[in-house]
This record gives sequence, structure tokens and C-alpha cells, in this order.
Amino acid sequence: MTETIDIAGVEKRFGRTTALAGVTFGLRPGITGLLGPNGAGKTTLMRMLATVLAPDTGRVRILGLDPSVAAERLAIRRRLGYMPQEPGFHRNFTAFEFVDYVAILKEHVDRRARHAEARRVLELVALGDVSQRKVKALSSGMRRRLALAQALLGDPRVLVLDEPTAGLDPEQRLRFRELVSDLAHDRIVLLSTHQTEDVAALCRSVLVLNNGSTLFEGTPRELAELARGHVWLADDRAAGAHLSWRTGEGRHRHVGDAPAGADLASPTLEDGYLLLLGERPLKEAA
Amino acid sequence: MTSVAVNSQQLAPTVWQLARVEGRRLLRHPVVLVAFVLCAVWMIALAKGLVGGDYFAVAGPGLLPVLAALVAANLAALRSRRSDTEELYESLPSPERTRTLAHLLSLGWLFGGSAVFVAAAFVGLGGLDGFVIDFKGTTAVPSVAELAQGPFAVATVAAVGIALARWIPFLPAAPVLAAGLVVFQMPATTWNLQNAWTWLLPLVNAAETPPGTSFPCDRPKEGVGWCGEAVFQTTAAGWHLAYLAGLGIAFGTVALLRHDRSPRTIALGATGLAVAAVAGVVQIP
Repeated sequence: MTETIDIAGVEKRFGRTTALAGVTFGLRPGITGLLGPNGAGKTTLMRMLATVLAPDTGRVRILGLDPSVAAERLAIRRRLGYMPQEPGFHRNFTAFEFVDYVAILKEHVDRRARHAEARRVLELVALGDVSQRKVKALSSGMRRRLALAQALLGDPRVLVLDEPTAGLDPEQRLRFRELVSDLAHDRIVLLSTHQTEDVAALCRSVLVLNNGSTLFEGTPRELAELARGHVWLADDRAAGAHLSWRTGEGRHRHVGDAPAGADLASPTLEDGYLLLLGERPLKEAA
Repeated sequence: MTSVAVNSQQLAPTVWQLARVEGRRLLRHPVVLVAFVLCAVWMIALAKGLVGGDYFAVAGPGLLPVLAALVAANLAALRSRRSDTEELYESLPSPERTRTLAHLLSLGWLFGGSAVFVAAAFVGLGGLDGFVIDFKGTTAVPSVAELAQGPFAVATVAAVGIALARWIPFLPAAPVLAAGLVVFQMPATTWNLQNAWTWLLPLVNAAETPPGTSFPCDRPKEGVGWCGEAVFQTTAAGWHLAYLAGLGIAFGTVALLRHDRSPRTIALGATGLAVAAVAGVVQIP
């Protein structure tokens, strides 16, 4: 089975709104970060890759399989772990019961093996100690980890994670990075997030969507390099800067044209992303 | 992307595992537990003569688990919608049809639980009053067909709850239907006992009442009492079971038709409906 995801010319409209307008990209094993502002089409794309939404036009191949063909869609679903942006939970289930329930729906029919698998994934996300606690009694961070746990059931070849680190505290985020980076060496992980530092820390490649179109596809380093020569440190706010904010050290960090007396700074992935989404066209920024 | 070609080898064990989980949850559902407790209290109070023995008082306790089953099964079938897990479940290999089928099969657990309850009531009430069925002290032992009416009614009405969840997926629908059942069941069993259409309700009893009263056997006053024929209609009760089973299959199929309109499913529904129609007419004594 081909360990790739290929998307070509995918379009999706909801009424008059175009959610995706001819998106094309390819994914290989490793973590790919999906960045974009709200309404960029990230969640639509994630839902498409999770086989819950079909494109209007275009070609989608997941592990070489066509999700528009029922039998192939089923084969994809058997190799897929999906964490929705707003995962719902059965609040009166315990954490273990919820994961066990999803495991049954993932066709883990041997009860003993299924229970062992449920315990394994709960341990992976550090919820082993609270596995008998009802979902309604878990904190929001714990619930996100529970959502991640169910996605990991059955060691899926493809992981589609929609904002998995939202609501996690710094320690939990680091644990998440550790876990996902361990998992990703031999499988495809698509990680949609607003946290550029997660992308910088984890991802082999990055995709930026805006208004339903692919704005950037490359490595995190290449995204950061877009801002090289456009990031400055100065003592005062510059009127001409695309973005400017006062840092903890008291100096102003500018993204855009150089203000008077400014020092050139090393760009981060966030700088590249901000510049990419700014008013300047990509070629001008580059 | 809702319909999926399902590997039938995988479907059956998945459905059974899910049915097992759902069945146990259904039996532990607070609404069901409270209904069984209230039903037991009501029956004991009746047997000890602590409450009046009019017909609704006699038939009423059985109605509680039936209504609870309707509401609990409906809530269970609506769970993924109530909990916003639909999107996640759509990404999983098991389609919604699997869950609907599992919810229907989980009614077996409810049926079994109700049967155990009825058996316990049979033994317990027999011990309390020796199955006295009227104020004259007449005793009679109910037949298996009559005793089975409770579990059959519970499972059938729960199947209605599941069908309701699949076609009218709104939380108030089941409680409204439950209230409707009470509204129809109460006057039917209290004031119109001899009306033929009362046999179309889930719970019936063939005992006769004096004209103009709801008491199967009026309490004697100043030495004057009246008792109807305190008889059990075993044959009619048997047909009523067939009627309930037919209805249960028909409503179960209605739930499945939401996802599966194969000729086999339609044939099953038609068979259930035919059984319910025939038994529904034949049962009337």
C-alpha cells in the first residue's frame, strides 16, 4: 500500500462560500503542519482527509485509495486516526469506556485485546490514572488528550489531528510533541494548528492555506526564510512595518520594511507565516 | 459519505460487542432503574392493599418500565448526536447502521432484565398474597403468555424509541410520545376496558369490570359487592405477544430503513407489520 496522501485540484463549496479552491499537495510519512487563519479551509480539508466530507471536484488519494469508492473508503478508515477540532464525548462514560466504545467501532472485536489497547492508548496520553473517571469530570486538557487517545487506537497509518494542542498546558504540549514525533517516523501525520511553534518544533513539512487556496508548501525552514531580510529589531515602533510589537526586552520587533536604525533579526517560522498572510504578495515578500 | 460497503465478517462481531455495551448501559440507565424500583413499590403496595385496586392501579406499574424503556432507548440512540460525536464516528469503519442494529439488539438485555423482574414479582407477589386477583379473595396464577407481556411491551416500545431517534432526532420526541402513551393507556384501561381497541395498546388485561366502574371487582359495600369474571385470557395474551413482537420487528426495521433500504430489510419490516396486523385482529377476544 502506498504510504502517501495525494490531493489534486480539490474544490469544496458550501452554498456561496468557497471553502477549498483547487488545493493541490502531497504528503509523505512524517508530520506535516497545516497553518492558516480561521476560515482558511483547514478544517474542511481535515474532514476530507478523514473521509467524512467528499470534494465537489478534484482527486483525493489516501494510501493510494480513493475515498469516493465505498470499499476503498472503508479500507482507509481502517488505517485512519482522526481527532476532530471539536471532539464530542459521551459525558457519562468513563475515559476507558469512551475509548473502548470507539475501539469497538474501529472493529476491535476481541474484548480482551481491545481493553488492552484502550489501556495502552490511555497510558500513551498520560490518562491511565484517570481512566475510570467520568468524562464530565475531566479537565478540558484531559479531554483533548482523550480525543487524541481514541485517534491512536489500532496504530493507524494516517493520523489527522485538528488542533490537538489547543487548551493544553506547556507541559502537556511538550508531552504531545514527544508522543507525536515518536509516532510519526513511519506514518503520515497531518497536524492542523494555530501554534506555529508546534509546527517549527515538530513538522517535516508545512502547508499554509488562505481563503481555500494553498499559499505555501515547503519545509518550516523555507517558511521562516521567506521573512529573511524582513524582520528587524528597533527601539521604536515603525509606522511602515507590516507588523510590529514590543518584545519582553523592550525593543520592537518589526516584520516588513526596515525602520530607521533597526537591526536585522533572524526570522522565525511565525515571522514567515505572518508575512505570508500579510497584504504583500508572496513574491514581493520573498 | 454516509453509506459504506461493510465487510459482513467484521460487522457481526462489531454489532454484538456494541450491543453488549449498549445493553448493559440500558439496564443501568437511571430512568430504567427508577422505573423498576417504582414499579416494584407500586406492586407491593397493591398486593398489601395499601393502594386502591382500580384497573389503572393494577395496570399502571407495568407501564412505568415500558415508558422508561422508550425514553432510555431513545436517549441511547440519540447519544452521538447529543454528544457531538457524529463527525468522529463518521470517520470510523463501522457505519451508523452498525450502531442502530446494536441498539436494537441491546433491547435483548432490557427484555432479559424485564423478564427477571417479572419472575421476581411473580414469586414475590405470590408469596405476599397468593395471587389474589379480586376483593373476593379469588386467586389465580397468570400464564407465561400473560407474564411475558411485560418484557415484550418493554422491548417493543423501546424499539419505537430507537426508530424515533433515527427519524425524528429531537430530544423532546420520546417524552412527548411517552406522555401520549399514558394518555391513551390510562382511559383505555380505566374507563373502556371492554373496548376492542384497547388491545392495540402495549399492556392489556382481559379481566372484566362491572358496568360504569374501573374496578375489576368492586369493593363490597354493606355486603353488596360485584365481581366481574376474574379470568385470564391466555389465548388472547399469546396473540398479544405476537402482536407486540410484530410491532417490535416493524419499528426496528423502520429504524434500520434510515440507513439500509435493501429488499431484505424491507421484507423483514413487511413481515413484522403483517404479523402485527394479523395478531392485532385475532387477539381481540
